[in-house]
Amino acid sequence: MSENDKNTEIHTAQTNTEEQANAPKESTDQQAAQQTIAEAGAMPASATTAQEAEAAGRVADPQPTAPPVSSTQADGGARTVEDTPRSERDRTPAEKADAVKVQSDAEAAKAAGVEMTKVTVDGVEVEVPKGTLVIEACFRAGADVPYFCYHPRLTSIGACRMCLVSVELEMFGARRESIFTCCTVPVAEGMAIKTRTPEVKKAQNGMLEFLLANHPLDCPICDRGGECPLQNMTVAYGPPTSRFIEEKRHFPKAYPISDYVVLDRERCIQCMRCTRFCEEISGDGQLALLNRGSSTEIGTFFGHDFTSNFSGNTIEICPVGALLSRTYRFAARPWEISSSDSICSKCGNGCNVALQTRLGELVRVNGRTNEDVNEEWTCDRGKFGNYYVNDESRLKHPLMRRADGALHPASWDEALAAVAERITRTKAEFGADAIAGIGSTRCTVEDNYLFGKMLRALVGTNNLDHRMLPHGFEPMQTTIAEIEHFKTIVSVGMKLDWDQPIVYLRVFKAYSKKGANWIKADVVDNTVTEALRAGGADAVLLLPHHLPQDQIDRAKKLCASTGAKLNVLLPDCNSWGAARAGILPDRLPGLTAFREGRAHLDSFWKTPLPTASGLDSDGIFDAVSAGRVQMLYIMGSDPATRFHDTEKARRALEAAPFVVVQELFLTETAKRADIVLPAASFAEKDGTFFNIEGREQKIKQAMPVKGDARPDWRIVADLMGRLGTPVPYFSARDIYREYNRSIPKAEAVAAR
Amino acid sequence: MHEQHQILYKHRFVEGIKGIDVYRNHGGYEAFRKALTMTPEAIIDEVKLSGLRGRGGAGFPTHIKWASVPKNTDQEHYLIINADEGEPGTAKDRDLMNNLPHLLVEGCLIGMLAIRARKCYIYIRGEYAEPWQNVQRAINEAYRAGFIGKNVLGSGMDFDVYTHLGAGSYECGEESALISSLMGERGMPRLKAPSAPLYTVSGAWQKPTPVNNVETIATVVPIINMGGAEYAKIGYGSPRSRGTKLTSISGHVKKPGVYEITLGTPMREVIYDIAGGIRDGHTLKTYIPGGSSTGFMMPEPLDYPMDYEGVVTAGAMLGLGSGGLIVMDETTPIVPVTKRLVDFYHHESCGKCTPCREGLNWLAKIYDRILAGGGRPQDLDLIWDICDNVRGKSFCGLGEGAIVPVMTSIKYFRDEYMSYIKSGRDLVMV
Repeated sequence: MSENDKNTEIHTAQTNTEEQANAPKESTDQQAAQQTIAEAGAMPASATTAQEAEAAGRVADPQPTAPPVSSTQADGGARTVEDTPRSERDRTPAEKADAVKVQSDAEAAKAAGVEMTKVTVDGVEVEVPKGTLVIEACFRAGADVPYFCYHPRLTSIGACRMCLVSVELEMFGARRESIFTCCTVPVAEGMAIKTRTPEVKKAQNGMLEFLLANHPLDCPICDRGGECPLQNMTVAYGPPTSRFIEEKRHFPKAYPISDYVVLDRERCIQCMRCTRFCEEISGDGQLALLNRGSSTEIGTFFGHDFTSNFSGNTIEICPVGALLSRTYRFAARPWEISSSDSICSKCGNGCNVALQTRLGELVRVNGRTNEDVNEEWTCDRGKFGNYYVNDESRLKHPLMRRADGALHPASWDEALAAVAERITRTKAEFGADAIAGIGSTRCTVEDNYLFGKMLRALVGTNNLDHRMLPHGFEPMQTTIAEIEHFKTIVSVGMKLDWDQPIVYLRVFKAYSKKGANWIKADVVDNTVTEALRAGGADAVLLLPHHLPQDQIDRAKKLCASTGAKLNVLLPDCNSWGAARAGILPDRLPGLTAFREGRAHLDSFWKTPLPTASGLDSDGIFDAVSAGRVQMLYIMGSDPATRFHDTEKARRALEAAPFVVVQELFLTETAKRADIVLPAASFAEKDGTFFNIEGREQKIKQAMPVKGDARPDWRIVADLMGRLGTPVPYFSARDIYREYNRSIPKAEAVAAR
Repeated sequence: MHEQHQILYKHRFVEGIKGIDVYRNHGGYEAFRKALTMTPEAIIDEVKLSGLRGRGGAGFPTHIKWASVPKNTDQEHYLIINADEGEPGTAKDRDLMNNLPHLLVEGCLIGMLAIRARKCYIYIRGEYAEPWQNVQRAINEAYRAGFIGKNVLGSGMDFDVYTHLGAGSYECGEESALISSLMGERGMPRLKAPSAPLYTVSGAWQKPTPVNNVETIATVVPIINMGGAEYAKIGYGSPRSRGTKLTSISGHVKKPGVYEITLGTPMREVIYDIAGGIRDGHTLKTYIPGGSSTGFMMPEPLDYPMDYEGVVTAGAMLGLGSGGLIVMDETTPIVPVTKRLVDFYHHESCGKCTPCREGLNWLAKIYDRILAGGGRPQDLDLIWDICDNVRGKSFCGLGEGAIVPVMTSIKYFRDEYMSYIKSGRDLVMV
């Protein structure tokens, strides 16, 4: 079931309760309760079939005739608007995500046949897996419980005391009712949980008054204002005014604790979410509580910088504006932001992120929940590293090298005409193989596919590569999420938390929560061999793609013999995509070998393709220096700084008679080009990325394109038109559809 | 006057009882020898017969705590002794550790036998440098004498006793915070059942670790010596409160000090006979029966039995407490006294949970204001409501205990507050 469906489900539950509250006054509480139960029964969350729903209704039937026992019922018809839970709309995205996570966990557990416990929440009967926390049962029943320190991915500590509920339970032979924090207590059979009794309301009110006693009233200048759980809870549950007339606690405002994070200790409510994140999720333990009692504050030890690569997540989980992003600070108010779902462009893990823009500028990157990839976390590289899309030094016009030897602005018409003319001329004079193309691991599958199609079908060359160093392609043998289930994890030659941050989080989870062994090595040596032998089939080996081929081969043999899984991790956001799109000298789209794919593509592209394998990137640069390749077409790649032998790349770029570069910036490569075409960044176009697992994920345009730049596929399509084959593409989607059809059926099936 | 049994303090005033030789001359380590011949179940049964309840304040039956330690596991377990005596008014464990350190060590050994532990940690509060020295010296002597160490008394069992000095936090006397602190973590309380397993099942380092008070574990020695049934005969009050209780009596009495008082002795006798009564020319105004967390109590009724149940029936909010009787005569101004206590709890709050951290901070500020002459009539209702919001909602007992003296002081001495609020001065002229 997709995430959206679950969202809808919860929404339904909420709406039901709202409707119920808005029902005419004469509708008694008992009727309302009955209605709620019936509706809850119809909800797929608690009962999947109509029979079960009926059964739930029958269970509820006797209740109206029973004497009123609970205090809510004793209230009679006194329920006012205040008594209704907050509507779905009032919840912050984080709260919604928490509820969704709880729901999906519960469903997964039920599907896995875990023992269930029946409890009632405000009269709604729900079934939850044994050992579930009461707060999660409340979410499942659609009840609203305020909370600050609780987080579904962190251990519960019961510190904020906000989630107090009244629970009636059979204990020591008598039915007792007591108030406790529902985030720490597991459900027990027959619990009657009440979230809206007068005692609970008084407690919630009191806790909020306490929290606000020392919380500054600077919401108007706080970045959290508008999406702040403390604000929301105060509106929904808090006292209208404070009786606190004393001096509040004071600390220096906006104290920077790293290049990315500022700390405002006055706003901190000591929920310990950030310290628990650092301890339990990122494992660096850099944030800690200092001092005690009312002078408790969050800080780093000895005032060191908060250098964790995951520091940005603490900003997101902070329920107040105590930890703030320095890049987002005063950049926008939450209600001015438009957010679009996309994929991070900084590494191959493929974190699901929300690109948030204001007036066409990227202001913030927030993590999005995807249980299979990043759960809800992002790394700092992704959170703070994507602002390059806003950079003023971005190329806004095509550039052409004129008679004076310098690059000057030009119109698209002029530039594209010059490129098309040069391609035609070079092909006529030197043959198609005098033209070579370098694709990109950062452009989308669509960009790369079209680039490959142009060079293969229109130009007629196989001199096509995207790799900055020679390496093979080993599909990952497990998914990212599966890594956390292995008992032995061996990582070789990587600074995992920096190179593959999300993989690191999974590895750390396995290591810290599930007791896995984690062996770090620099090369595939005896330590690795022994660890894998000991681990057997319950081991996984993580290798970087840049290891020498002989080591990878050795590792492959080793894994095959011990039964361990081998994961070779690629570096860039679309490394897999570029390969799958066929930007390789000897592979067609879908990584199809020439032999199998050519027949299909010949007919599909309606042109005979060149028969011989082309040159790889090393070969291309050698051939340029030797004069065999006369024209280089580089899309979204910077070999002058990123090629494994930069000298060679630079020599080739200098030597090449004609170089075309599609780029965001005037890179070292672009500086050596004859024509530079400005391209749209990942935030300005639609498309598809394949992450290291080969998971297909869509990016979405979040902001208007800067200046005159165009998406890479659009530039290539325009050029194809000028080369005499107009192409009917209006969107990245059209191209993706064609890309899919360009893969021979059998291969497509095998690739799945 | 009721006879006061001297069970723990039988040899308290013997010259040199701190040393192991004198201690052994007075029957020291005989109980341990006897316990070595008993099965763990037999020791627990003996303790059960004696009706021994925790002397640290909560009064939890010791045998239940010990019996809940899992048997037949290969897991190592530890006995933890709570010597983090921080309650204002309570100094009984200090006296015991200073003067009868071997009694504590012997108790630890018997406790370890009962729960099949081989290691014992004595967590002593950081301020107790002298008691720590005494206990450590006693442990060293016991090592040399062969009561601790390898193959103790030929039994084939190895015992170790360690002391651990706290860093000066009242909160670390709360057993779960003590466990955290002992493990080197921040001294904050941890989740208790049903949210987490009992400490007797999974406590420090996820091992079974029952936590016993110093006095409780020392009491085990005479219980083994005289037999549980005999011990259970001692006591004048409730059948569920047996034996004696060390009580440190302080304040405006003629003979302040630490006394061993037989449970069930009427409170009037405790104050007027054992402690010698109120100093001359003055009358009893109020008293705190068992450490500041038990709150103020009025001179009437005073004839109730001082034991776990008696104090509650007399109207105390939190039971017998840890044995720190503070007596105050009519010259005591209550508002500054309460402020002192509030300041103490505010200073000692660990900051984990909202009501205790923010509520006590707020209370401390209100008291500052009232004493500075800025009190308002509505402040009393405000204080009461803050207390009400802390009560039953704080994470551990610290918050619960902190509000008791505040609430009782308002309940009994509202006029003194009103005097402060109206005139900025105290009713009581010293």
